[in-house]
Parts: sequence; structure tokens; C-alpha cells
Amino acid sequence: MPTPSSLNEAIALADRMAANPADAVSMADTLVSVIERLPPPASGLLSRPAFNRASLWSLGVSFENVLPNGEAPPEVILCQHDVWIRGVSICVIPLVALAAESNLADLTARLRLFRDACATQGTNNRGLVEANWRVDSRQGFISEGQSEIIAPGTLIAGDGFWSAPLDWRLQKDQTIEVRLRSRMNQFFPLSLGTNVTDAERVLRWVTVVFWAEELRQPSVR
Amino acid sequence: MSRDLWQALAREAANDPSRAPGIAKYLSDMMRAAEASGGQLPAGYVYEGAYQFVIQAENLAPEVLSTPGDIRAPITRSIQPFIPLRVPFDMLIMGFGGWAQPEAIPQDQTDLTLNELGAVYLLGCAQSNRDLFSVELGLDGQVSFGTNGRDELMFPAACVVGARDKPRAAAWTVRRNQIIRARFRNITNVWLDGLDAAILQPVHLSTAAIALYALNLEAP
Repeated sequence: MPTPSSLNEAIALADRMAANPADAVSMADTLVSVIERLPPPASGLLSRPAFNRASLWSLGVSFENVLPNGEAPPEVILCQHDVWIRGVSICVIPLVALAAESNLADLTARLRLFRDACATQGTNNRGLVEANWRVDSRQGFISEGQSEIIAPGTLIAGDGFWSAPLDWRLQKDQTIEVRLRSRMNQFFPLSLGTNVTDAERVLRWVTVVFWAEELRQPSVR
Repeated sequence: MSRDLWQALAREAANDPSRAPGIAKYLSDMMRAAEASGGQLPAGYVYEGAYQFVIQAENLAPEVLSTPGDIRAPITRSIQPFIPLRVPFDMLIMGFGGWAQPEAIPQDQTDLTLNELGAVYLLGCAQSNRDLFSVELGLDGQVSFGTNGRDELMFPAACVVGARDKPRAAAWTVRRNQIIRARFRNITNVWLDGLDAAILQPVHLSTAAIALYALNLEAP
């Protein structure tokens, strides 16, 4: 195990590099090594709040016209590089199609229903779907302990404004398989009878996006 | 916050000897500030995105919605051109935020009603209307950062960027004269797919924008 370095050591090295361009060139790799070996801050986990996590790539999948019954065909993300997955977000756009005789007041009431439901379903309508994911067909990342489950989007994914934090390192050519199921039969229960049609339970567009950092280089040239 | 940022900057110094002395000075200042604060998050300009760049599209109309599998107009693409932003100096982009303004169009050249306006303002369930537009980011005309590993894809901004209150964190160093580009698509018609235009006219976005919060790496 490499010997931990100290903040004083890193500062002294950086000062020397700043004062002498020749040292800046010759010691740059040493500085990288020293910083990598710094011990974690004394405050531990709380010193690395979520905003600290950096990401660049949006690796995602798209599902259209998801029916309320059954599971949508799984979609697969292929990692083109070694990546560090830092977070995941879901966005759900329901279909607010109305019957032919509807009017603006009906549309407004329907839109208000979804807006008000954010308090219970979560932002981005995440609660209207359940999802899980597998890496290279390996299960268990969303689990009830013994077997894989498919869980509500409100619990397992963020909304972009904040991201459900992940910390996966995946290699090139590994895959993430995303499975998705609609919860519209729970949101619009069948007890509504003819007040809501099956067409109105369709989810027009659902996206599941993983935030990723490319591991080969921390910046893009 | 410190270690990820310091590591990114130290690697930049190792990869570009011409910038190594300047980056080393920057790192020294940041590490001193961290040491002085006892390892807690220090306050001060070095941790704030002092520069804010905005890439903005205006008057975005909805695009044709096709059926799934119709490759002519997939929902994950756009006919809109990319909007470029030329990077004015070497900088570290620390976060991305997004926002859009929907625009209600009145029926039949009459005055817009408050009910029509109200319906438009009820569209969407994401902060800052980020689920009313999709966005794609790229660099230098060669890279698009939205993908499933095989194809370039546009995703709703509600999955790609944060908001000003809480930007999507980044540690993205870009150099002077590189071109960051963004493309936007109005997806309000995805919400309103199948709706009779007699009830509500198609919703335009008078503005769709993303902001990049950055530090000038060339500053002493």
C-alpha cells in the first residue's frame, strides 16, 4: 500500500513548481502522485458532498409509448470507454391525450394533476415507473436481499437537479441493461373505471440517464 | 470537494508543461486555504464558478413526432443546428444548469386567455422547466456527450443538467478557442402528443438555455 502523503508536502511541492518552470515540468507527475496519496479529510464522508462529483457523459436509454401492462423491452447501454458512473436520473413524460370532446379546462385539470402529484411521485414524474439495471447481465444492484427486484424510480434515481449517487467503475465494452415497467395502473387505479382510458395510461417518453466520467483522462482535449 | 478538483488540475499540469507553473500556483493557494480551514470546505472565490457562460436558443417550435422505430425523426434527435460557444480562456467548468421559458400561442389570432397561459405554465414536472426541452452537448464538432454507446442521443435537460440552485457537477477543463456546442429540442409536444390543436396551440419555447459555471484558469 502506498505511503500516505501530507497536505504540507503537497503545498511545498506546488510552491516549488510555481517558483521554477523547470521544476514545474519535471515534478508534475510527482505532484499527481502526492495528491493521489493524500489521506481523506478529517471530516470523512461529509467532506465529499454530492456536488463534488464530476461527470461529463450522459449514458442513457430511451423508452417510448410504455404501456401500463407488462415490462418494456430492456434497453442496453454500451460503455465506449472505461467510465466512472457517478449518478443516475430518470425523466418521465406521460401522455396527456384527452377524449375528443375535452376542452381547455379538462387539459388544465390533467396537467395540474401531474404537477400536484410531484409531491408524492417525485419530480420528473419518477414515481410513474419502476426500473432496475444489470451490469453485464449481473443482477442484484436493485435487490430485496435475495433476488433482483424492480423498484420505483422515486427511490432509485434522481432528477438531474440532484442525482442518485453511484460509484461504479466500468470497463470498455461492459454493458448496462435497463429494465422498465410502468406504474400507471397504480397512479390511475383501475377503480377509476371509464373515467380514465388505457390510452391515458401510456407513458409517452421515459429516459434513464447515467452520469459518467471517462477514466482515461479527466478533461477533454 | 478538494481532492477530485486537485487531482484533475494536477493531471492537467502533468499533461501540459506550458501551464504547469500557473496550475501549481493555483493548487498551492487552494491547498493552503483548505489547510487553514482545518480541512473543511473553505469559502472564497476559488470554489465558486466566477464566470457564467450561457448557450441559448430562442423561438424553438416543436418538431415532428414520429412513431417509435421511425428513423426519419427519432425523438432522441433534432433538426436544430448546434449553437457554438468559443471558449475565451482556459477554464475549468464546475457545473451545468438549464432553464426554459414556454410561450403560449393564442387561438385564431385572438387575445391569449389566462386559461391558455395557465395550461402552458402547468406543463412539466421538473424545476426550471428542464423537462420541456432536450439538450445535447458537444465539443469541437467531434464529440457528443449524450449516447447509449452506439448512437448520439438527446435526452431531456431534466436528466442532463441541473439548475442554478444545484448545478450538475463537472470538472471539465477546456482550452482557449475550443468550441463547446449545444443543441436544443422543444419537447412540449411530447407532453401534448395527440392533443387537438383546437384545445391548445402547439407550445413554443421563447428561450431554452444552459449555463456553464466556470473558473478562469489563466487568472493569477
